[in-house]
Amino acid sequence: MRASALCGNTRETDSLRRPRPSCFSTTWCHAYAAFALLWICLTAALAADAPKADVEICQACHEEVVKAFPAKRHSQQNCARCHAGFEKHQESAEAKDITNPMELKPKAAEEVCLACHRNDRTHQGHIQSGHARGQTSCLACHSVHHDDQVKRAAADINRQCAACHTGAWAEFQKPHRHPVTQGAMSCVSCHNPHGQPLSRVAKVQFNETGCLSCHGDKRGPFAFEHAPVRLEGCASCHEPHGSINPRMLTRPEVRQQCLECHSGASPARDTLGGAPPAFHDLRSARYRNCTVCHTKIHGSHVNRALLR
Amino acid sequence: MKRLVGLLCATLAAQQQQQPEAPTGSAEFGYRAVAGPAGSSDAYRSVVNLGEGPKLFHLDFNAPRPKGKLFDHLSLRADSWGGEPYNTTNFEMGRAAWYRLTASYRNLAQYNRLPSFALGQQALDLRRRDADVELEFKPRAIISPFVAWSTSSGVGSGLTHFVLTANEYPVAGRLDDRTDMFRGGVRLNTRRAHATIEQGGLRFRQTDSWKQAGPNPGNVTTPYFGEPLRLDSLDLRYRIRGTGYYSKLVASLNPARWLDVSGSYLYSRPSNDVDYNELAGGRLVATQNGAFSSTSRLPHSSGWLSAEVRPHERLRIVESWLTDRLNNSFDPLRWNWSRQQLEGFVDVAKGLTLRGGHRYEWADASARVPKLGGPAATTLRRQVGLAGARFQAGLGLVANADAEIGRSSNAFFRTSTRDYLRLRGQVRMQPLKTLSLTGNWSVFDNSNPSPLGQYDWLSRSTGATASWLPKGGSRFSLWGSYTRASVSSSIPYLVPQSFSRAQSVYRERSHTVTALAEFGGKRLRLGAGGSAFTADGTRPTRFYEPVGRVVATLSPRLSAKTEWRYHGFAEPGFLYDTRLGPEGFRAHLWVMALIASLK
Repeated sequence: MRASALCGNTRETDSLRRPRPSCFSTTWCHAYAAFALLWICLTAALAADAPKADVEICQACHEEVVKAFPAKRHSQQNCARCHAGFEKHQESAEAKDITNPMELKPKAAEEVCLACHRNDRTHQGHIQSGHARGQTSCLACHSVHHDDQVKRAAADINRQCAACHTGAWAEFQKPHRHPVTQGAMSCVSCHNPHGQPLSRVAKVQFNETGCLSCHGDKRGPFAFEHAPVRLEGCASCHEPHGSINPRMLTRPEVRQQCLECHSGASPARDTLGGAPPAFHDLRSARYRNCTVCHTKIHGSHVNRALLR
Repeated sequence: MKRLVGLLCATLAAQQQQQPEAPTGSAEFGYRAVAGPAGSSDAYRSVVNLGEGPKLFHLDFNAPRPKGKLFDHLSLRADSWGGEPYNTTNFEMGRAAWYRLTASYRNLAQYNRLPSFALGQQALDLRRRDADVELEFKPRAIISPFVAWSTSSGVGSGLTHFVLTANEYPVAGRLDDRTDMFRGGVRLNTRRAHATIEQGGLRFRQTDSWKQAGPNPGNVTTPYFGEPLRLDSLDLRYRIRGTGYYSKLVASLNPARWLDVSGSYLYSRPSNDVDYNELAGGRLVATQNGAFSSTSRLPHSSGWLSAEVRPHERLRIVESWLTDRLNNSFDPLRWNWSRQQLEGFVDVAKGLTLRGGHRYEWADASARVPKLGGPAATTLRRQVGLAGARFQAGLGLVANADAEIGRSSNAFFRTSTRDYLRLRGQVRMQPLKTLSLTGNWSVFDNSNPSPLGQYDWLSRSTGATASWLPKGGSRFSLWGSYTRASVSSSIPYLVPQSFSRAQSVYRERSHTVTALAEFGGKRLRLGAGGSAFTADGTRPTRFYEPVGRVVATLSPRLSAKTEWRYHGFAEPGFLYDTRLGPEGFRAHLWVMALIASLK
């Protein structure tokens, strides 16, 4: 049997050229297979594990620590995975012989955790994250031995972030805001504290900002896009944490918001954005509120001027 | 001998561990009364939206079963049920070696109708329901498959404008959208290398309908050729059906102690098919029966590759490359953006790390613009210098400083980031075991010096946080935060009717205080705090939310709680349109609740 038959490859050279399957192309199929093979070879060569340290042996002396563990993931781990030097420590019972990640430099402590968590969905892009650059180690937020390894309640997460991100917390005290102080959302609903390579707001599956997880009607694609929404994101017009302006806009009046970009081209003609025609008489309240007519400001499926 | 004693203790401890752990949990339920709101009830609903009635404020339940066959842990948490604007529920269960199931549900009220926005004639009153379910098999194994489903739907009513023949008519309608996303893949895990291969799909539908029956004079009441413009009937419908798929590959490798490599590639292709029908009739309103259909596709790919090299124990070098590319061909919008960054970290002394680097961004974009607009295509080249330091010393002192200075060839939009300076500083310290202090300072200065750009933006923020928990907070605890921030923005614009030049100026100087102090003993605990926000400048605003509470312990498993909250919002001196009335409100909220716990 030919390999092509196994994976549904239809690029046969016979005279009856069958069409390619549309849902899952053979190019991807081969790419995945090649990647998996490469990965298996590579990891087999690099595989090495820590010495085994049964929880029961450690519990003999560190009963309070072991008891504090919940029946979750870390409780059934090998202690030596995080505490290097277990064998020597077991012989000598000296604290200096075993590694305590809390006493390591932030980068070294982080490496202990990343040994297992490097490929967690949340850790993609960790190298480029602000927390990694500022050397904020995992242990600054996570209490590994305790029941709440990650404080999952939204209010607890928010309190933890607010302890350092004072400015962001202050923005949530403004009247027009996302419901973070009410505990309905947490900072991690939009941000990935472990690192996000492309922007500060988590990009989710469809290469889109996390905002669209809740505002799905703004996802598009639209036949007539409003370019800043795609190119610079929601924050080009909105203050996502909170604002004193309605709809979390960055300006108190909609005309300001729009005309600051839509004021024609500079002589250098180096920016995108047109100018409204002369019938827009700003003395009238109708024209000062641009969205009164341009209702589909995030993008329209049917109208080039975003009127409907 | 030491080992023998150790093994003996271990055996005893193991026997103790076999005792099944008891479930834990708590529930808080009661009644909320609302006095008010005095002032604008629309603004109250847009900003606070808390209502009156019996509520389940909080519920949590944990069932650890170390030897359980079906699951070894199960937890459930629910918050704010009983007609609250924001309900959330989270559920997790699993057996460590076999599977992990997580589910979450959120029901959010989206209400927005403010007199100062769109003449008070645009509003929405939606209920948005989001759910996520993920099932991961053998999460600790080398090969770990997973499947997930998430859905988000919004149903409700709204108010918008229908624009036709030099007039716009406020019309009411019904909004209904739903997105379902499915994804699945496999994670490959070893100690030195990791990979995730993921495929996903999306299904979207939106059905909006806007209707008008009866005469609607619209906003233009001036007769047109002696006749009023009037909309008598409208039946407008959008029917949008969308699909999409994506492929994602993420990999990281730690081939040696001195090298980390990671990368990702994500390709997505969402699309929408739209049917639009419009039937309008009225006086001097051209009776139309418009029907349009459109199809849009948005192929979008992004990827990044990073490497961290540690040639010496005191030196780290991080190199990264990112790209993001999209193309919507219906009404052409194209974007190609790339970024390359090199940064080095040097531990120059014990506790002191210096970092510095360079970033280069290059991009091109093209978009359709109206006839009076700027170019249809433009490019960007940006050079950014990076510098920073981290200092760590005794008393838990950690100081971090960052500087970033960027110079660009141009900006895609007039208010985009162009020539900028960003400075940030943070100091954290713990002078006592019970006292933590944090100070933050940041400046962002952006300008667009092109001849008709002349955009200037300057924002500053200074803040401090203190947390004091003597004796672990058992008798007294205090958490407080203060932030002073300012924004100053200025840019010229063209007045459309005369093409004369005017200046758009925005100023905001704000002070924010949040605090919570709790004191008392095991029987009675009092708390007071809340937040106060004041802003002066272009839109002066006052927003106060003080809170006071008393919690009395009735028995080891039962407590009673009473809480008072005040919400006060005012915009003194800000005039948007006096005909529409003030936007401020005041409301007092009282809560009486019981807190029951299992353990």
